[in-house]
Amino acid sequence: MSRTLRDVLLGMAAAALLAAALSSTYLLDVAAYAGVLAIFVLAVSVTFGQLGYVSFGHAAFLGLGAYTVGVLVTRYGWNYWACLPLGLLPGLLLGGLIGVVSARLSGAYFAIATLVVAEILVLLVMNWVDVTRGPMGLMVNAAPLPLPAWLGWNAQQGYLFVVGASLAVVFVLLRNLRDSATGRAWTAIREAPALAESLGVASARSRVLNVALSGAVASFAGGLLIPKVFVLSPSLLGVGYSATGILGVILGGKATLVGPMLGGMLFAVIPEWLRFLGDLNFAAFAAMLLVVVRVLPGGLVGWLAARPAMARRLAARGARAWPQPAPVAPRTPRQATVLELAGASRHFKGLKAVQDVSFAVRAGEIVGLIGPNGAGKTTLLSMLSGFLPPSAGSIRGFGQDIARQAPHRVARLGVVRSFQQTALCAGQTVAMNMAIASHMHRPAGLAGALLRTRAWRERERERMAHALGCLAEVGLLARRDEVAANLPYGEQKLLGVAMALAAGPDVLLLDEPAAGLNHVEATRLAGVLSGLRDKGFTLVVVDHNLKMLMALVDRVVVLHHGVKIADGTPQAVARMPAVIDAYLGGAHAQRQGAEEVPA
Amino acid sequence: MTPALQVACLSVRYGATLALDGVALEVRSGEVVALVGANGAGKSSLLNALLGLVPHADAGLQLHGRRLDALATRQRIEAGLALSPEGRRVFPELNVEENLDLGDLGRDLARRAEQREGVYGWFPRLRERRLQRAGTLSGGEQQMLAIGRALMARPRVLMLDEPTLGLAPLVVQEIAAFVRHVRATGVAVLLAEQNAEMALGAADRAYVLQNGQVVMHGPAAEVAAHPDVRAAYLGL
Amino acid sequence: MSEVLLQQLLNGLSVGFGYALIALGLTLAFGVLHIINFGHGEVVMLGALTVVLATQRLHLPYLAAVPLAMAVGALAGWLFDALAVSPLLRRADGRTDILLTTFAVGVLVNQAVLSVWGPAPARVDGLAGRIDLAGVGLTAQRLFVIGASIAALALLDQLARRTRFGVEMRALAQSEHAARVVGIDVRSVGTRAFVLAAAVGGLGGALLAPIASYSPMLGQAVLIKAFVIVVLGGLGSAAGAVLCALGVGVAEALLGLAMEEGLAAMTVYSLMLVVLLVRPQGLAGGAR
Repeated sequence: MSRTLRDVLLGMAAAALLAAALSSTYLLDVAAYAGVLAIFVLAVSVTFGQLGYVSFGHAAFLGLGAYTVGVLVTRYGWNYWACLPLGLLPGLLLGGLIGVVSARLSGAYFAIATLVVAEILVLLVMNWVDVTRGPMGLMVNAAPLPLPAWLGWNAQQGYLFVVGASLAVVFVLLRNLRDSATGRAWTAIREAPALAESLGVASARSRVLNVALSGAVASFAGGLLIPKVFVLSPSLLGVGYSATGILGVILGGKATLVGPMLGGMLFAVIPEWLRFLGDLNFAAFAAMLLVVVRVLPGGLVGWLAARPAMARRLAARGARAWPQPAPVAPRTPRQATVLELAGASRHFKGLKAVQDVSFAVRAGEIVGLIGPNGAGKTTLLSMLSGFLPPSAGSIRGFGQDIARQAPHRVARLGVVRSFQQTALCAGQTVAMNMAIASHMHRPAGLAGALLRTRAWRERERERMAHALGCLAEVGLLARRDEVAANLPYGEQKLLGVAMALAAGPDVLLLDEPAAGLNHVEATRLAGVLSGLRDKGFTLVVVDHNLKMLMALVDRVVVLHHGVKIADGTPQAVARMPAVIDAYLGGAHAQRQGAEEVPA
Repeated sequence: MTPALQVACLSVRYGATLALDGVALEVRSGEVVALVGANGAGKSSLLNALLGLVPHADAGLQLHGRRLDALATRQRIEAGLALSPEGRRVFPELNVEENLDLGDLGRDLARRAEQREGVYGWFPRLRERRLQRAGTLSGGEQQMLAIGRALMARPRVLMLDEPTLGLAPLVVQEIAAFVRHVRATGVAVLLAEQNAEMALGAADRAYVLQNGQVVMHGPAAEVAAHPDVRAAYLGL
Repeated sequence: MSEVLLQQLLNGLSVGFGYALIALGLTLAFGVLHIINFGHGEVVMLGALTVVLATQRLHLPYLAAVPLAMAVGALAGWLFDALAVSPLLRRADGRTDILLTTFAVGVLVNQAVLSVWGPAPARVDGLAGRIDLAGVGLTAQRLFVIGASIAALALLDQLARRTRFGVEMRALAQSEHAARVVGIDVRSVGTRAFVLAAAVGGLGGALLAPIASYSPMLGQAVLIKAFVIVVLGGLGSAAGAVLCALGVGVAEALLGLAMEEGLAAMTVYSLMLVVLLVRPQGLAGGAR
């Protein structure tokens, strides 16, 4: 039986047991509320924890779901349990809309925009009295769940079972999603957005999917809330529940799914438990939250997972069977000229970073791009990979215009870059980084990921094998389980190269891959790069390690103050007075004139 | 004679990465010391650590015999150390004069005006643009502003982090000239540069940094002539 | 008819100036420290509460209660900073967590007030009297709000431009790294800026209390409005915050003539969303 099905059934069984075991009305009520809040906080964690976007208006989804189901039941007389699944839809739609908006807004602006959306909905609900009965509240009579008589459960127990079963399904599906390409893309967007784009992650679409899913689950939770609250009021859409969502994620811990689930439950249970403090219970809870955020940055689950005994057990569980690394496949050249710049320029407010640069890169060659710091080399690479549009001129890749394409489209075309400042998902392991980098390799559909079909598992295996193969190509296979941030600088640069490789390009644009490498490591890198060239890859390499570069490349292009001043073989270029002057300084040129011996 | 600046053994860690590994160097009064090395070699980390911008263990830091290790940045500046940081880092919305004034930690306005005049003497173009917003200056002018701001603190050791980054050759020459002449006023200079040729040409002594370690040091001319240096930086 | 409009305009301006002070507190914290202070509303509430208690329990004249409210605001700001801001600024992910810690401390303050003084709203008498001219007039209180706000804004402007502290704040807002390089004690400047922001917020609460009446829930209501203003004006732009605050005050007053309160608020919020989508950095904000 697949793990997905098994875990869902286990969850349902646990829910059934709990429902049967509890008889007190009060306890059943608290337990059900804990379950619904757990689902809501899980929904918030999808956007806040995984995507990294703070939303202060998630209660908008909760309330929207509740009111939609509530109105359908009271106004149109539909059966509550039949309407319940429909509760997903309003959140899905609103979430999709907000996801589209997230392209323009981020960080604090996004948080405040979501807060305002929720406020607008509150006002809408309060004033549309015909439908929602405004501040007076909408009383919804949910018919009890039709249950077989032999179970002997009352309505409350039936309700608790449905809540528990829903929680199990939501948790398992979200877990499957997190450990799939979709979830990994969200991690990448959160930790290194530029890197994600360069590896082919269509960030905009990924964000829309994230917020839409998050909204759908949150609005489903809203529908589930009805039997517990009985009377719907506009405060369901208000800051209170939104804060609960975010704080629940923080309390439990952003990094997992168990954390938010636990956080949501605690938010239901602890204020109840603290009732003996009378009116101060909420204050005490707030104090508790303050302490947790200050003292346990990873939340409760993060703190638990860091305990040495727990960490060992988790590590043991994580060391699963890795597939054999699949060696990097040779590339067959698609065209003779892979990259072509014609008159490419880029201005920034008065600064001419790149001026009228033209050259072509042929399939299977290694071109070195050199020049003093500030010469425009990184700007040029950014233009070649779609990160910066040129101010003038044309840039073509494989015959197509790539000048104004988004970076992920250029990556899909087969041109992938690495970054000068190490762009990695620092908090993730090397293997996870490589899995993220393999995003475009054998893409699988969402349905397969959610249900963990056999086809999907096969592709995951292939993807990991491909990822490990690229890792082996740069010689980092042994570092597979290390956290990326703990690697020495030189190995981080190598990982960057491996990740670019895993995106399956034909052309690699490498920005200072040898920075921080000592002589031995640089030689090894040069070996890796020429090995890639032998396999048919085309490389454009920017670096300052001239000794390594000049020996490696077929051709050198020299930039100085944004202008191309030389283009030829390393030997020819190293002799050009203009190059010596620019790169090496005027005084040297005079000395050099006397001593130079042709290579 | 006590060196102006003395570092016994400096190590800097960022998390698990060792950015500087037991670096020792000294700068004597009135001399220019070049610090060369590739990107990622640790030059900026070194200068930032000397100013107290990044935490470091006791490194035996001394400025004219005064121990700096336990001092905060402000106190190190008061002791006579100043930095023109990498990337210039001027305050873009403040004008040239306000930027310069922030370099002076004292409260004596007359002395501050005097110091400003001195800076304008070194860089006349800054005087012309006194009231212009720093963000609208050219790269070269911003670099002069950053150096001028450091000079406002009346340093005994002036540290320059990649002052020629992305600047036109003419401006580079101006800065090299400044470096050679400023020591006549008794200021010692520690110059970190990726442009090895410029730095070695302007300096008396040099240290070569690689992967956080000093791999070579000595008189600048000797370092420049060393075959390994020529190979690494000149690709020959 | 136009007299009614003019009257509403003037009323709206007076409230707008109050909003301006409140919004300025938020934008100051964001500009200098780059943080969002979710407890700011509660500080404003404390300012209003101080005026209520001072006039009703301590029988102080209103004019004496106002500076007291500023002091209370400053004290609350210092508390917020010590508990919820400074310790977290050192952390890598600190700024996100500060959203939550400031919210939590805000809740604590709110709950404390509820426990001690109860949930009942209270009316405050400000300055008595009224000045009329050509059919329109303003109460003395509203005139005082406008006058005090303008004075406060002018003082703050001078502070920012002429004092060492002001220059250091502006420097820190523009480049934290450069501020450190020139030896500015970044933590100290940050704390003082935060406390100043809270004092200004307290002042706003004290000025608006006689007009809008006090309630412990004042903080929440004010916070959302303040966010709208600050974001519309551009996070970190003082001039933008002030202009938008006046605009919101006037818009509320004028829209209130045509439609009922809830609808008017919805219109203002929707407008804000549109502005944000068209110009994500706000009306006057620069890229951050």
